[in-house]
Amino acid sequence: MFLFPSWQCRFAVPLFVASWFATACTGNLGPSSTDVPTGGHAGNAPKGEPTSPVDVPTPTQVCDAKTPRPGPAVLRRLTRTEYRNTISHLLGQDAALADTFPGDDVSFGSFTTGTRFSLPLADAAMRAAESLTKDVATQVVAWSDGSACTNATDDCARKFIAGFGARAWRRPLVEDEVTALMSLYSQGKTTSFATGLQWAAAAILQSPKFFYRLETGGQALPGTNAVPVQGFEMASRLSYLLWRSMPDSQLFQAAAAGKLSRSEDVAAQARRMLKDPKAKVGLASFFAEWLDFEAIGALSKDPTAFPSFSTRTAASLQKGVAAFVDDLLWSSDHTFGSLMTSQHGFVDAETANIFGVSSKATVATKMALPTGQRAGILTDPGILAAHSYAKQSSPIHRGLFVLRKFMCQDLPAPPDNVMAAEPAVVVGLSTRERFAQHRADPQCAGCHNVMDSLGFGFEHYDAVGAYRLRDGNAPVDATGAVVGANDEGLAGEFTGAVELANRLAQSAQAKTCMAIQWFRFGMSRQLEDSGDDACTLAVMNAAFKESGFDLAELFVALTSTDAFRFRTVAPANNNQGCAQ
Amino acid sequence: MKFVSRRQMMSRVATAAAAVPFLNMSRVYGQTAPPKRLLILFTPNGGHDGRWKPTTTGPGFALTTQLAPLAAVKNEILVLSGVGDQSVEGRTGFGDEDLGDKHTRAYIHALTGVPITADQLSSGISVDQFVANAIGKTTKLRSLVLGVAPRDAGVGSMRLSYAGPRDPVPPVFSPATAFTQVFDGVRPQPMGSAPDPSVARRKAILDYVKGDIAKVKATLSSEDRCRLDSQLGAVEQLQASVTQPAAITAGCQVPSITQNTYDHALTAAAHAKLMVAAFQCDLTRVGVIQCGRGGGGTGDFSMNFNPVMVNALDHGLGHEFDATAKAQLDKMHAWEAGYLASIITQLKSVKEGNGTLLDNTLIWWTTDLSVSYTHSCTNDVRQVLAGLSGLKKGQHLNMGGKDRSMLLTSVCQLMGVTTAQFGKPLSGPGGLAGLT
Repeated sequence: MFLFPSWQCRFAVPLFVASWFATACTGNLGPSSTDVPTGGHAGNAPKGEPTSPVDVPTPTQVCDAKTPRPGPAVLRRLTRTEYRNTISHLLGQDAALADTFPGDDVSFGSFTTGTRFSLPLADAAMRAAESLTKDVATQVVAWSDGSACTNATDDCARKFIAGFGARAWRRPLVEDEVTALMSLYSQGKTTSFATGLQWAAAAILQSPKFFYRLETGGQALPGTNAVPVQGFEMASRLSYLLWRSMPDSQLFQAAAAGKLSRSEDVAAQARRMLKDPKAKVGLASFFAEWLDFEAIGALSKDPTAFPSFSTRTAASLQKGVAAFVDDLLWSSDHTFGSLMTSQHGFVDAETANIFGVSSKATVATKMALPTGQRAGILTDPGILAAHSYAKQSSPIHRGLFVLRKFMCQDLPAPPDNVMAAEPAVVVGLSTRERFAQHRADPQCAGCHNVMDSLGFGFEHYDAVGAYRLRDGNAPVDATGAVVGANDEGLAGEFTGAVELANRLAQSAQAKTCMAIQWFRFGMSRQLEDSGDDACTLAVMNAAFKESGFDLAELFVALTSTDAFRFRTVAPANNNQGCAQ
Repeated sequence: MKFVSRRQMMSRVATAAAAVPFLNMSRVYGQTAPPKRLLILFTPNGGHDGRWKPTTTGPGFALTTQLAPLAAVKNEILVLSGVGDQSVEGRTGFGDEDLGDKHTRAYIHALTGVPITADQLSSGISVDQFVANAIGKTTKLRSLVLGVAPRDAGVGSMRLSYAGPRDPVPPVFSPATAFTQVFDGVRPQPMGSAPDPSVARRKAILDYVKGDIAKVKATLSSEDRCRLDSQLGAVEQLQASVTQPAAITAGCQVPSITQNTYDHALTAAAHAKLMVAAFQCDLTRVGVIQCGRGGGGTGDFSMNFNPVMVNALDHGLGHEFDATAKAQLDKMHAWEAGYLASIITQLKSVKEGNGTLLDNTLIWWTTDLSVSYTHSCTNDVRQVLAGLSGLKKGQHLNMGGKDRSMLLTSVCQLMGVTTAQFGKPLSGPGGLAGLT
């Protein structure tokens, strides 16, 4: 039996906090942006009431290896990113054509998930498959991992189909499948042998068996509805979690040998995979999606207020924050503490002024930043600039960003018919004065007290993320407060984002939130309210804590959970229809 | 065998189009009435507030600053006020008040008239796809949904068109990609003696893919079957589009679409050109052009829409209301009106039957919000109909506070697609009276 760490009990009683919010935050003015679909929790909350602070399930059951509770499994289609990575490893080609695919669904603020198909996707996928397979005849050995021969014979074609199909579909093919593809090959072969191979290969790359990560094997454990994820399915779960790409030959061999069923075997594979360069790509995409780095690269600012901010600056800021993460994971200690408090930045000539250092570098280069001005990713200028208006900082968006991304709390949408207006920039007035209306109006005060109090702590950073000492005619007032936190150590007043970041770095709520974000990314869903995921989260939290909050150990820990190692047996057709 | 690259294909089409006189008699209208087309133009976040609305009604109405660029085609448009999305305000019993913010709800309601789902999608089909299912099955593409934005984030506020519940039709953003989807495989008349080898190949491969989908589907739960159904539907439409022989018909002009770097205005212009050509060549009868997204981030220009001022975000500006912001927004919405005018002019320049392509095209320019800084949608959400002969044109009519679902029903009826009501109307079933 698994024992819950004692601190988790604080999260096990979210009702108290939720009811506190309900009185404090009724009829609030929330964020004016819609960039964050809030997912199920926001959806279930009555209008005017806040969502549950953290999607932490209440542990209502005993965590017991004999009765795993995996929660619902989501059938996932390869996203654009996963398609491109997969093609790169499967064919050794860059599938730039994936850029013509429609955007993937976005859930929980920013994580991409492949779900359905559409005509534009089917069309683009067909053209990509045709283009990618045109030289298949020269690639039969490479693409089948050495299992095919090069003679223009049906026997060699069959070996190619079986070998290439097994890599593309991430599992061995059954005889019927080879036969069906051989039939397609035969039709193409009336033109030429190479054509026959092209037809089969293009079909393999358009099949749902390629596009969807299908999990249908295995039997439920006795007395449960939990099915152990089978070897080849587990290989894909691991590879798309850590690499966002297909399994490698070692994973395939482990799957074939039945060496992905024990928890320790899965964890050992995960540790091996984290050392592979492919993990750089996979984990970079977790951070990029979690904190929406792409939005940084697309920023524009008011040209009068910030004449030197160009599209090049925006691109450099995006590269800088990506380099920060890359360095943290691969050259530093990859701890949560360093993520939140590192005093280094990645600077080039375009961004040097914003960082407050001098640099002529043409690529983002690691530099120590002026003492006391920055702490970790929260004060990264790209992140700050992305949570600002074009002319001025935005305490609202910065506060909400911290709340959603690092505290896993949320607030309801603004009520109807409020004047959700950006305050005018009035010379001489500080940001705090301009945003005073939000907190003066009782209709707005509840939520704005939560958001703005957090966001005012970032007032040392202007709309492009540069450090400043004066705001308007007065020295910057960067006092703020964490209101409504679920964590005593986090709650209360603070001065400046550096202090806030240091407090978050120590906070149990922030660390659990980190685990939750990794779960959402890895499982493409939220934690279940039902309690099914309580043990999963407890396993992640415990491993994270034991490792001294090493992110690498958190990444591995998910692979040891019920949610990752099992799937709930699919219910019989309940005729709910597709709208539900 | 050879796969033809897009560039080769484009040059082939262009060469063929230049060399062959367009003499496909089967497609010369006159004896039979030309088909009706539907084009929906969506520009988000309303007209800032009600000042887009003409102050007088009837035939003599004066255009406002935001509508001024429509002056040259004033006799082709029907401006409607007094129509809004009543479901977005308050607790109306619509059923999705708690499922998303107003931007997302208003955006998804716009063409569907039904509640959104918890995962920020529509719970039902959109009017363009509903009409396309009725009138689009004989053309190469059942519909053509185009988008204007430099990147596509698959959020609900960028998904306007739905093939069914929770089954969005994502727009195609790249003009070059869209051009390929429309004109690839379209061949000059007379059909050449050598059949295009890609047709047989694609038919066989897509047959195989459909078989795989059926087999996989049988092993899945009901929710997951819906996902495979969406693939099946997509592959069926794809197969129809790439295997039905489509000919370059009389009068059909294959456009030259070379737009490949992103720019709001240039992309919008390319999309308009492609849409007109697709209608003219009868390759589709239903089109949507959607610009930007509903709402937006603070600094995320990439998904906002403002073709006029590079550094001013549409959504951000919509939340300001000083004189400068108003002037900028008027300029932006006037750009949108000018875009509509250019589409009207292009359709009018194409002769068809005894009239022009415009006479056979119902254009509906719409948006989601009425007042952007309060996210209000109740009344006076900007609506302009245009084109289709029989429409009461050259007028501004005040509908007096009707729900936009009634307008959705009217769109179906104007297109000759019978339906008693579309969506979930809050102000009663039936369409709007007095449009024709």
